[in-house]
Amino acid sequence: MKIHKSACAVLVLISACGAGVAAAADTSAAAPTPRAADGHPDFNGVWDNGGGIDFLSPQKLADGSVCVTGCAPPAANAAAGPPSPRPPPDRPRYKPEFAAKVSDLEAKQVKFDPVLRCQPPGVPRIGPPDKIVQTAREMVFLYEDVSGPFFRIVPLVTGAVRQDDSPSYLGDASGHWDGDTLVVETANFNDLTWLADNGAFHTEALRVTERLTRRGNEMEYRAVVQDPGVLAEPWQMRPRRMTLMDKEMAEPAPCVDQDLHLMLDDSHHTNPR
Amino acid sequence: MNKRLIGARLWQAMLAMLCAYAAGVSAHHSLSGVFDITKSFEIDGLVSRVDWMNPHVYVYVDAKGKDGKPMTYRFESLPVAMMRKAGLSKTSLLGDGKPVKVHAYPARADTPDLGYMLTIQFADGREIQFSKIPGAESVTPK
Repeated sequence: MKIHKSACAVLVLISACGAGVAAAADTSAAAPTPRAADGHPDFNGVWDNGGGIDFLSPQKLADGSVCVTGCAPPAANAAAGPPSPRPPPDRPRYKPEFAAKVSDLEAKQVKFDPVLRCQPPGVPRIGPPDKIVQTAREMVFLYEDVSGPFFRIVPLVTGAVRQDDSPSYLGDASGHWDGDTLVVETANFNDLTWLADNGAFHTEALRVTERLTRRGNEMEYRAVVQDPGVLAEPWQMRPRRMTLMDKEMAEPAPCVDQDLHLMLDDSHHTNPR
Repeated sequence: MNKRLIGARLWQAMLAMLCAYAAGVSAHHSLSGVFDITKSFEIDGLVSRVDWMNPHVYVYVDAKGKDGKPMTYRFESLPVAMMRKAGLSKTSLLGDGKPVKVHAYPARADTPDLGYMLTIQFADGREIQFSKIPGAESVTPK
């Protein structure tokens, strides 16, 4: 059955408004917030963070056909009109003397954006974790990113962030509890990542503070970026919402770029994050 | 073509363009550097391999080239996260070993074996639409 001829067919909506096809747990923020043995909120689990593709609403037809993008509106939702467009870019504001550098990097994104070559995305560009493993002493964040699988270990310690190792892509993190909110302070970054798409470079002075707050089966993720040498002000990234999933995390796929060398011009490549 | 049908087609076209913009990775900006999105072609063949990887999943299809000789087409597709969100897997893309029909954009560079997969239709009639941007001129496969 041709999908474009099937607008009037019975459509089975796989997901709507950003919810994935995978079975989700009770995503109500009003659900009780489970707690670990030490009394802190229990962050363990697989979390749907939208993956930067929460605007995507795939559809499955009764005959097993699937439409991933460019789909006609499902009959049941035809009155609702087209889906919401992607939100505008969320970018830090730079000091005036760095505006030209950002513009130049953005124009040459295909040449310079590290993630287009499967390099680590950095923080906070990597976004919220896909899975959290919690112990009384540390948090482990697991990611399936378009650039590949990544992990971060966040010791729950009070005091300065460890800086006895070389600067790295995802930095050195430490965490502490502020009431029911987990606060993750990360520093000791190298300068080989971007903060976001579109040329948002940073220096090794970068510091990122992430705040994760669980309410019921939802989690709010916030990040504040400080790089006072180049940013005009701390950048408060647009908050992200995570929902607890009732499924295990699959093995992340590797990232192997095959065709970027075939780009014949500097066409901007929007990333799914 | 009556006005109602024209209106429906226009609506579908506008919606498809909006969806393509919203999808980002399917937008003109991201595809046009490698693929000629003004043209598309269809081939019939057998799926011989799927590379389940980022930043793009690749589907290999054994078919006949323009000269009638066997060749393997390599089709770029969506990232793994989008596939998973649509409930697709490597297994579902491999299909059942029966012939498939692929609709794709050709590559701009001199790589006749490379295309960007828009749809794949299996022998049982199921179709997966990865991306759809209306208006592409139909061309003979390379």
